[in-house]
Amino acid sequence: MLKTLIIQFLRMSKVSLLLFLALLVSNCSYNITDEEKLESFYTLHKPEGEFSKFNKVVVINELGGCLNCTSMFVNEIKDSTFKTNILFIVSSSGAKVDISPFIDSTKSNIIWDSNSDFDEFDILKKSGVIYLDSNSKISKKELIN
Amino acid sequence: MKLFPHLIIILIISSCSSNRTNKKTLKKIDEIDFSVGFAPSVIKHFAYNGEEYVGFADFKSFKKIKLFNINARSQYSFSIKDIIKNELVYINGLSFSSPDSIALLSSSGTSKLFIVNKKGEVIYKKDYSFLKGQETALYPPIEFKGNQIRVGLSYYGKENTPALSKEYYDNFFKDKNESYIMMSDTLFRGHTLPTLQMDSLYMRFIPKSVNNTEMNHLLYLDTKNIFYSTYSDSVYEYDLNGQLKEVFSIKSTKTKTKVNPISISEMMMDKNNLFIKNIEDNSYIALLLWDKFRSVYYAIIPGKKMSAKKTPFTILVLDEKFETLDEFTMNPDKYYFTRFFYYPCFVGKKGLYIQNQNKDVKNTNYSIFTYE
Repeated sequence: MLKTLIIQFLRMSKVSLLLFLALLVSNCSYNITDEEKLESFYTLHKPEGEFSKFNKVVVINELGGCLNCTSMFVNEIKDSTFKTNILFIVSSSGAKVDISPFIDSTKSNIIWDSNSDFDEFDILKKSGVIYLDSNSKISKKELIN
Repeated sequence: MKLFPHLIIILIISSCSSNRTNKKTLKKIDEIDFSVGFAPSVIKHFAYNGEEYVGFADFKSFKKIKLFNINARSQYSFSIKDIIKNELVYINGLSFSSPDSIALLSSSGTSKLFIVNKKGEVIYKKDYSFLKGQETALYPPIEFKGNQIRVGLSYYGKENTPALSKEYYDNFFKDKNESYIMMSDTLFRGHTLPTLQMDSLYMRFIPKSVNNTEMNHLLYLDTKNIFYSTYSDSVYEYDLNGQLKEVFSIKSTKTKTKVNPISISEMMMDKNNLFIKNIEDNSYIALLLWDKFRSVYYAIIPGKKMSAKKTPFTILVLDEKFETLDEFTMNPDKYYFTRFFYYPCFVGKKGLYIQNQNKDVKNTNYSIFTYE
């Protein structure tokens, strides 16, 4: 039910989605889970994609105290983008962290969230990896710095 | 007698309207859109031959520099990838002397200075990497004007900082201190050595047991340098010979400007997050801009960060002696400010340019305000 509602909002705009989720979180007794936020965000950017195929989500953002560490992390994982079971969410404008391997990429497992909208969901405080089990539930979160 | 109340009313109305016309305010007069094509990490406004220009750079991902005139007409764009690749450096400092003379400063203690032309070709190179052997490095901001460069300098050592003296200058590299200072150098006179222009600054505010890392707070003006610190509510005015001339206290009427530094041991245990939180939760003079067209300073005072992209802030307008003229609260839903890496505002002839909150990262959109 909730998922259907979210999908309907996804058809509208990012702003609507964020407002909707914010309203849900602030006003409703229902607590939206990180998994639901994650899947909604994915569906927003990849409406035709299949979220259940991912077992890892690599999040690259501009948060945290060591952005050089994040740039090094990007350098380490940049060759993993061919792995279709890993989703990359690049929540960076590119000004603070070197995301050059992801710019202009057309790979379906990369979301370039240049306006850092994903940060608003507050799922990860810094760059890191979210591990998903076979039911797409978050089993572990790992921060890189 | 019946006329008396009427006279009073007329007097009140006339005095009110006279106040209104004399009262200056920060008024939005226009918006302008620079199609930069990337999110800039550095913005530089400068004037050359009576024309105003704005340069944008991204040193991290796109590795590009793009120049516009003040009316947002693109002048040129070039890549700095070759410099990075050939010189094995990263770049983090930028300054324009003219559209065809651009200074780039390398980062991470490599201390190399490049002067490039509008095609991005290196036309002059100066290597200060000898400083690294003395635990010293050049840091932005840099100012390139005529044949002179002014740049920040960081070094590490043991003793508390002595007052600026000939001995201090002579022993500068021997008696190193944890500090952030600035130096100048005459670029094109062969083997000129850097000239120390300010004495130690951090040590004025904090003991050695606390973390002294902060943003680079230097404002280079034609006849003076101004230093300000996250940990101080004052600004320090130096002449170009490095003499401290005056200290001015700055007071925000809307925010309490105070950041208590955290100890190094606390910071080490917390892997830097405490430092970031400390800065993001508190208010201080984050940016000082000089408006030579109106002879006022603008001090940007950020408030507690609201979300990943929204920081509320006020703009203090100060006269030449740093007396507060007024303070304006900016709407963080409309206007963008970030404490780290890059300050998205500058002053031009038209007024104060403040970056708008923008969904499209490739367009940099500004609101222009005038204080009048």
